[in-house]
Amino acid sequence: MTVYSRYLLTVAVVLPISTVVLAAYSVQQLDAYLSLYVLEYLVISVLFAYVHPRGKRVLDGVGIVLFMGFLAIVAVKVADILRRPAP
Amino acid sequence: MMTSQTRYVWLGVGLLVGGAIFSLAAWLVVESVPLVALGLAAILIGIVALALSRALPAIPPEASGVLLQTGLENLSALLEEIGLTTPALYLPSRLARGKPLALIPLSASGSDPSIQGPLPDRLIVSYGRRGELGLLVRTAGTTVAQLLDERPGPSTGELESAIGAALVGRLDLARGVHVYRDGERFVAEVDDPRLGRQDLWATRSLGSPLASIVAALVAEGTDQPVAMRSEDWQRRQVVIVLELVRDGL
Repeated sequence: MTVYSRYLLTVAVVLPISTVVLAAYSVQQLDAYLSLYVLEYLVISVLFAYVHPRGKRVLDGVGIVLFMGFLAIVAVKVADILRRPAP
Repeated sequence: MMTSQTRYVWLGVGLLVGGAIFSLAAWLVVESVPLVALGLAAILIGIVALALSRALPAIPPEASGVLLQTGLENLSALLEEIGLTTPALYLPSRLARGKPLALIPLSASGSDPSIQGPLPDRLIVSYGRRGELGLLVRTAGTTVAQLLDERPGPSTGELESAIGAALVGRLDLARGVHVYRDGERFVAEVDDPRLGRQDLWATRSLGSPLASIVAALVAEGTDQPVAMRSEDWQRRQVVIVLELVRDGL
């Protein structure tokens, strides 16, 4: 199996499994799923550091976009917490 | 006939479109957050497949293997005609026409060749204090070294990274690489090699193509001539031992 097939298979297995695990715990927040996907994607990208530079550039770009999305989710959550009135 | 690249593209596009439709349906019809997330996961996997389609080699591995085999057999025929089996010395680009080449001494002297300076751009060159002669040849490592984005560094970490990028990332010839240093010796452990030892005359001087690539990259990274001391082919690993040969400059 080539390194590219292994990379794709790893992503294709890890993401659905984590979805099933979160669904089993009745998680209903979409941002929780997205945050987990972003973390998993970044970790897998680091583990498969030897991908050809041409593909790596696109994968790194995707990683940057996902990470920005993750930061946006965190910012929205923090703003939400700060907006809540003090008990 | 669909190539691997085309398969990845179709898979990526299929997952992107399918994932988008699935997410939309899950959101509007079923109103299930886990299913929407699953659709988004499919979109992400589709993007990865499309990105990887750009990383696949343009030349099929079988074609590359044919070219390598042909080149090796031609070199083997030349060396066999001369009856040459002396071990090669892998030279960094500084000493050999701007490319990492291998010097095969025409006569065995019992010790490693001593390079007195950059060698000329010729096949048969004189390299020693006493005017010893040798063949200056390109190896698989010569071409591989030029594929890398930047020159490897001299530390074991940098060499491991460069050899891994070449053998695992670019050429997909192995699953992993580990490099250790013991004084002037470098030990490279290549896991699950996909290129065999190749029983050809040229390998008596140059080593196997895999070892040749490793030696060329180590020579280029350390900027010193490198001699191959041993190659140990085990069940799922090949252990290559190299030694720096300080040049006579």
